[in-house]
Amino acid sequence: MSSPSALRWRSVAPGAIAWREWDGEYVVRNERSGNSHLLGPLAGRVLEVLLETDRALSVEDIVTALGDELAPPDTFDPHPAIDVVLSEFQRLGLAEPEKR
Amino acid sequence: MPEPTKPPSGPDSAPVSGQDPKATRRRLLQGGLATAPVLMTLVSRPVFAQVTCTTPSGFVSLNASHPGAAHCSGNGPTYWYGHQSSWPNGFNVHGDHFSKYFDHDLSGHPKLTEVLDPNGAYKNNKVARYVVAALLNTGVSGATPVLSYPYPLKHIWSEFANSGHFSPSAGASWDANEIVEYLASTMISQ
Amino acid sequence: MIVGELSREALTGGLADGGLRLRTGPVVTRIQSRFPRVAEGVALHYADYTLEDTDGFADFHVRIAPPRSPRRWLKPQVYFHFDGASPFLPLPADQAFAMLEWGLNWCVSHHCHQYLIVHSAALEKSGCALLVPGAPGSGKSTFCAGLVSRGWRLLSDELTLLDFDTGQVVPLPRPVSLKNESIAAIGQFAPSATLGPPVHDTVKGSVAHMKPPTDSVRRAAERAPPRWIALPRYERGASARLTPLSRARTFMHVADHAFNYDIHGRRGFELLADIVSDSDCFEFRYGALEDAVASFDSIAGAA
Repeated sequence: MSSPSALRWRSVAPGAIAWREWDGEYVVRNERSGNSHLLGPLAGRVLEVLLETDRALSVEDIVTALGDELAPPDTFDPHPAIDVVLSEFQRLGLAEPEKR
Repeated sequence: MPEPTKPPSGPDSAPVSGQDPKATRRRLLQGGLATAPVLMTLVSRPVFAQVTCTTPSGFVSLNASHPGAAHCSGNGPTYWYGHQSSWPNGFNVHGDHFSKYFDHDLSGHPKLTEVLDPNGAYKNNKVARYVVAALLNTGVSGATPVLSYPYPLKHIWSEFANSGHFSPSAGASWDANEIVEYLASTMISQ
Repeated sequence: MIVGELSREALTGGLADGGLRLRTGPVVTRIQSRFPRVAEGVALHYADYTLEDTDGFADFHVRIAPPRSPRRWLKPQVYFHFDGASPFLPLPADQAFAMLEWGLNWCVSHHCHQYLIVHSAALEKSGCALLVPGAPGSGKSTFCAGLVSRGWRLLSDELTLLDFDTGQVVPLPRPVSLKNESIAAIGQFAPSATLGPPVHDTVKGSVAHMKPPTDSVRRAAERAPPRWIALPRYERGASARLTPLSRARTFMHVADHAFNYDIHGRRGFELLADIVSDSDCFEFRYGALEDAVASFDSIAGAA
């Protein structure tokens, strides 16, 4: 299976996702699954970025969108963490890689 | 009841006064990198809570995964076929077709009674027979309060008719036997 | 007319025949029973409650009755009937009043879907509501009974009804159920509170009910906006400690304790999120009820 980095991602049915954020923590309800989730700050921001756009995004696109909310690239690499977020989202039905 | 006007989903926290919001976010994001992305999940479960007869105090002593006692005084398909004079109000014994209530009609465009008939053409279509029985139970006040129409009965049939399965929650999938077992657990007769 | 205005004969006779239509908050229940314990329990705990007309509408029709078999004489049992059906296994007959209480809770939590229903106590002070959602064993009911006996208005002991249009708590004051050690604890903490006789050997141990204050019953039509959400934990000997809990975690806890959160979908999500947004959220550890009262009086005083 391709690593998340190589794929382009979309959130699942944006109209089916309701969310709120308080102090960096997010609660999300996915109408498709009926499940609700508590997300940490990075996962929440990634979801927001996916919901804000119609097009499918790569991990690199997401890093760009988060911009200077992330620490400077010479101090750490956010790609692995975002990979984990996207894998989790896929497992939970919050996002999916674009079908080729 | 009209939908209440509510603000759309979005952030609720106001930035700390005097601070750059992006700086606040950066600190939050970096802190968040050390933790698992999804901290907690609440699985949807109203209909698919454990459905067995129980005592009312059992319902009160809730734990997180079983929020309600089940109700088990619905009747089954053979019962409803044999008690047509007792059908609840709102259902026309002689006139109602399966397709009036459910998408994906059965071949032969049957009436509800024909579907229920334990010796009829649909006697092996257990899912159809049990969803019809469950549908009639919705007309009996209190019989199966968590199993309503259209939600989820209509959806159970649609999904099953489309795919041969029904998914009560993400990651779970019921086949015909499991669907029938679930519906039958809300019934005290066959 | 209120229950307390009926003679004992009229009360007993009314319950035995066509039933009494009792109003509890927004709900009217027709209650029928020939069990003396039910009549005694109603006379004691529901004395301040309004009776609706005998021919009037009722949301629920319940009957507490013995089984229709010879077994009724060997080991007396009691059934709860709802609209003619029996959703539950029977209990020993001495638990007849407890059966009524549990059954009334079941009626509301399974049918009142015009509200978002949370498994939570709710109390009011200074015009605002404190929600105490709780797992069993958290000390929620003891905490609730303690505050109620020190001037907080009881909105609900077990089931908090939330109005979709306004986000306010719709009061459903009913007797507060106490278990095991709580019974003695409240008896000591509030000697003037009216407690019914305990029944023993229930599924939950010993159970007794505390009559709600008259004021709470009379003001059942006064709704209140949620302002505080507290998750209590009783620990013997512990000093009181109030710890802020993140709103997101509080949301998950409340949603987990909402009976019909899933039925309402997005609408339920938005309602709970709005309520959490508007509330201060805490975890609260306590070892003595006096501390609990003092802590929350202080919070309410600052409101």
